[in-house]
Amino acid sequence: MVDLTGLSALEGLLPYEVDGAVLSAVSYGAITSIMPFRGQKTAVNVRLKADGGAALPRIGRVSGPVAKRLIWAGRGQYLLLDLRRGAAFDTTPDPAFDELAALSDQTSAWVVMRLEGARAQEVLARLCPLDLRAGVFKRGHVARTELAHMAVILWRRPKGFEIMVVRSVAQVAMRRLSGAMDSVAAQAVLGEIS
Amino acid sequence: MRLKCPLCGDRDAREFHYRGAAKLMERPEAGAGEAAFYDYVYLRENPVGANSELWFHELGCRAWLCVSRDVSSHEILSVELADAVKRGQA
Amino acid sequence: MSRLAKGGLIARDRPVRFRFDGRELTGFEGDTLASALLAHDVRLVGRSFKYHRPRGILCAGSEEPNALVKIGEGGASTPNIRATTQEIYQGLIAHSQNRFPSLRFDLMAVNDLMAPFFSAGFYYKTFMWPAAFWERFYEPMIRRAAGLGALSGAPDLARYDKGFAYCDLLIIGAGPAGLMAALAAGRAGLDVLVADEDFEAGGRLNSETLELDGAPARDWLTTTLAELSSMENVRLMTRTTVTGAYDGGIYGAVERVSHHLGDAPDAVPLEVFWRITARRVILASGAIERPIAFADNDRPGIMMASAVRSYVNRFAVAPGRDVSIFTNNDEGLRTARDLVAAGIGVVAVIDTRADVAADDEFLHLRGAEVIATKGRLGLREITVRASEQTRGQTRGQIQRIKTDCLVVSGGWNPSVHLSCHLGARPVWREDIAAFIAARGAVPGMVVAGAACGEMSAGAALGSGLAAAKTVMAALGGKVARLRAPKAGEEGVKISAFWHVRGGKGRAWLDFSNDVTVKDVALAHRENFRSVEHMKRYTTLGMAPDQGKLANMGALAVMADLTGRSVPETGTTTFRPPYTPVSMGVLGAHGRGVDFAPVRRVPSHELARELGAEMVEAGLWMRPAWYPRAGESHWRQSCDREALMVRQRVGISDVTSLGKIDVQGPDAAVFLDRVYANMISTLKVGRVRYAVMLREDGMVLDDGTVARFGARHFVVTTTTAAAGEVLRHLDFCAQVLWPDLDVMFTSVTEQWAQFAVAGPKSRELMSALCDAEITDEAFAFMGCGEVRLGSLVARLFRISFSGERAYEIAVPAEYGDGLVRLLDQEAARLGGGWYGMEALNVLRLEKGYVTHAELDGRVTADDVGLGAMVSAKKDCVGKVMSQREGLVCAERLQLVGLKPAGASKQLLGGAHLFNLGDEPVRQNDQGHITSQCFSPHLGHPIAQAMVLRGRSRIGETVRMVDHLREVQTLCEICSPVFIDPDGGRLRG
Repeated sequence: MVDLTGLSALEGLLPYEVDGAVLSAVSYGAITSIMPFRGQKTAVNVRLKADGGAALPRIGRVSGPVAKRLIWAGRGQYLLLDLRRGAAFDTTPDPAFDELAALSDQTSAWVVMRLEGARAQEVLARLCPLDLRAGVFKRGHVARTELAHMAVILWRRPKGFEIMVVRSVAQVAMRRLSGAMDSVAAQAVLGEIS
Repeated sequence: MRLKCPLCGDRDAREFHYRGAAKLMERPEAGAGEAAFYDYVYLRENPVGANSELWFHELGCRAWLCVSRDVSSHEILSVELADAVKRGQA
Repeated sequence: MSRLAKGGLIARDRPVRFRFDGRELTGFEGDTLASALLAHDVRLVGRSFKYHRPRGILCAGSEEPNALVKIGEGGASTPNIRATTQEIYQGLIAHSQNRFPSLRFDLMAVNDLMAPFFSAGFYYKTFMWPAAFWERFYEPMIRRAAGLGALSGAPDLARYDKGFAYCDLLIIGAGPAGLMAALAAGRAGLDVLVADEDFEAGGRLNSETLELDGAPARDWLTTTLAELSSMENVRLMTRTTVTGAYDGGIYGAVERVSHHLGDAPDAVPLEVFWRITARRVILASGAIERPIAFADNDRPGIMMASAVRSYVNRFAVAPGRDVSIFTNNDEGLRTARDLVAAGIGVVAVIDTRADVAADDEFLHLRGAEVIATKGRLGLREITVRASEQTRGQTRGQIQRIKTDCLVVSGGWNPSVHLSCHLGARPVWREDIAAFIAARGAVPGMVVAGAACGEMSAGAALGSGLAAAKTVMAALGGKVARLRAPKAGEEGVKISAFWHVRGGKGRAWLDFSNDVTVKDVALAHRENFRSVEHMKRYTTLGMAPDQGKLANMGALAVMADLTGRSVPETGTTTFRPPYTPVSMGVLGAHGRGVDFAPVRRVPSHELARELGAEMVEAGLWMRPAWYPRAGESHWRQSCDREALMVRQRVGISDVTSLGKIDVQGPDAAVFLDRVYANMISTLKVGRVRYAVMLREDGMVLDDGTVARFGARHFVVTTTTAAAGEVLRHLDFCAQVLWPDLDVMFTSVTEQWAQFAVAGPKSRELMSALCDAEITDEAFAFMGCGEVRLGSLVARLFRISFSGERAYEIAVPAEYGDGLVRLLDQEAARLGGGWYGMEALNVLRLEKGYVTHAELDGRVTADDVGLGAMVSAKKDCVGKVMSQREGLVCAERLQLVGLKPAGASKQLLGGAHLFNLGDEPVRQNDQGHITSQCFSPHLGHPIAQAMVLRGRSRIGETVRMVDHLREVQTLCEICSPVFIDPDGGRLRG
């Protein structure tokens, strides 16, 4: 019997730090896509709460505690981010849930990075066309948008952002983010000299 | 150019994919015949002023949008979810 | 030295050494290259574009047409930098341009003597015949002679960046109007971004000797800048030029981050391109002073009045010793007063206006004109003619005046450019003889200050405040109690005067492109009278400065000639960018590996270790072949890999194929409507090959549909069409049939998927999985879940090679683990990896199609899949696929080809002809879509689209590749070259 070991797409590449910004990897144990069928949102919420979680968030919002976070991930779609390993719903099919929502395991599909620090927003603004100003994109807000031509999901945390990219481009996204960090940090040093 | 997605809010045009005239929403019934489909697939009005168009928020929420846009001034007059518009018609 | 003993905004305690054309010079921090050169009496700085006329510094800002230089050396050099905006730094190296062998002695100056041949339109008249001369002689000659600076030819070593910025209010220009607006909006709490192209905020306040509220304007400026920089909600970006206005409140801007630094750290970008989105904009871009056209008005030493005040007041440089002034407005006298105050001699003020009060401080010649100048490499003398009888002169009187600097002021042109980028035209204001921005020209934009004709500092401050109030009224901000400071001066009194008539010699309008009054007159004579025609015929306004100085004068000349007014004559179109933008910064984030994101397959790491060659497939990088010891040509590897699959077992990474999870009560109904064949009858645990059509009846994509539950399917797409198919499904679900209850999401990234193909594939799979893989559990086209230890994997018995084959999928994070296990197990069975090349060979031998065949012009029937279009239901594209032209006999149909003569070469893209027919388009019988060498058969094979192909099996045709000049006789055959009855496939 074989026993395969998992490998992170960013194995050994993070954290990366410059003055004012840190990029690190976040490992969620399970990521599940939840797409409620027509008229089943309330029933889905009941099931989620029975499981000890929060209800589905509103459009563009995050809900639930850090350990069991729910994020809005687009039209009719939510992602449940569970810190526990192997907690993806659809690997242990729940017949009751089957009627309520389309579930699919996305644990391997997404790679999550955390960008924090005083210049995190400035760094992200080099690559991402979203209006990231704190008064507009607030804590608890989540957006599906673009980062250097890659589809991303990002949301604001107390000291920065979490950024989800698909696995195949994770290293590219990391390289672009660290490049932007270098550029912004170097420019900030210039600003202080002059 | 920017579009105000009903789900995501005001976003840069680079997140969207342009498909064409909103006439594409009115697919003929299967039995409508070749002429009806020919009209549906190929024939378009080209008015000055407000045009109804289909856009796809591909690098965002993946909603198809019905956009009313003035092609003379480039002003965006309205943006609605295509499925809501379609169901409203039915 | 012409550096004044005191004054200016330069740091005299910080000397800066630099080189110009090899000469070592010293300036101060705060100097531009232009001011530092003038401080050393360097007046000659360049040669003109066409006639190679000696040229000096004319302006003090980004509108400078003459003083373009090359900064730096080798790959780090940048040509055509304006000396008037380039700050000097320690070790700066600058070179003049467009001269050979030297700036003072330029061989190409012979062009100036031949000027009669080079007048407007000479390209169109001169290089007409013989036609053969164009490519070999004329064009190379013109290209050698044209242009100013030269590129180094080496890769650009500089780093460029770009970014996205948002604000409530973007203020363009940090002069009095812009700063006043920023102060008001900043205090009101708006999120404000102020951009100014200069390295010092303040605009004209830095260059004028003004008082505000009874104190030097500099005091107000210092206080205001300090307050603005203390505000969290205000960002002041200097060295930042807003270059264009676009739809939706978007503005492009270039921030020059390190052009002024000699030794910036490596990570510092040279420039950053900003895409600014603003809810409201105040355009406070000021105005540009315009010249007056008179004979030989382009000599070094002739300068704009506003520039001279900048050099004297801001940079503490005397532009000459005996300065004369030629003006049609009050700026001439203002300049004279500033010069005298700085201790510089003013020899005469030549005023075109006869009816102004005489200023007795100077020799004030009213109603007079400059009609000639002397001094080839620098001005020495001017000739003045009295056009009116005024005190001290009689009409027609001529006098010569010795002068080394002639200051010119023809009035001001408001910088309306950005207000016109969305197509609006500026409007004429007679009192200032200038165009100003039209109200409402750009949605959300308010124009303030000189840009809207408020020419005095006091009026500009007031208009900046008013603009801020307008913005706050619209955005709902709270207006702070604020008063604009009072300025003493009055508006500029001007009497329009554009060019001196009756002078001998050429009078320049466009210094950049060497266009004179005569050229415009010629355009008029030859009937290029519309301004847009005149512009293109003469090339006026088409140089790097885009006519900032030239256009108005030329319009006025044309208006004169046609007898129309200036507003009737109209302006040419203003287009972005406002000032030239480097290609480097536009290409920021798009160079080399950053051009597009690269998607990596799970076997990437192992493929690299095995030395595989990679090939692009969409954004993916996929292994193309895996060379082994002794293989020096890709064909050797490819042949080995293909035979290995036919004989033993091969493994291949197919992760990049699109995978879409489809679920819901209406999933089956939905798939029936989007696929041509019937999906709803598919049993759970089974897979079906399926074809999708576009609504016009052509094939969109093909793939497989696997059913995992009554309401759960997983469909695959080709690698290249994955994005397009998902978009199409979204379109069908949301736009066509939103009543269907179906959900789908891409799972391409979730699953690492590998093909395991060949007679020993079952053995390999059984070794891998916990339980043995039997033909009962996994018959051909079966699917299901299997366990690999603690892992649940998906297994599909599908084949793209014609051999017994499986595809196994595990969550992508276990991909690398599975890859290494597969490698080991395959090797044990005498197998191994095969890449894209072998994959292509295998599918061609079996007669399967890819997007080389499904090129958007074929129906399902054309490629032999007509039977798949179900007659029992509607689907996207069904009705249109049955159109007469798509079902007629005269279609190109998919067939196989094999060589039938001495030549064995089959080439993709080559065309086919009947034997005996001339190989011309009219006789075309079709073309080859894909080809390969089949190691299994021992000869090349191909797929081709051939007219009525299926009815011509056995016929011989001639392949002609016109480009590679190859001809091959081929036999038309079935596209299925191996195992036509599918015995190997089903096992």
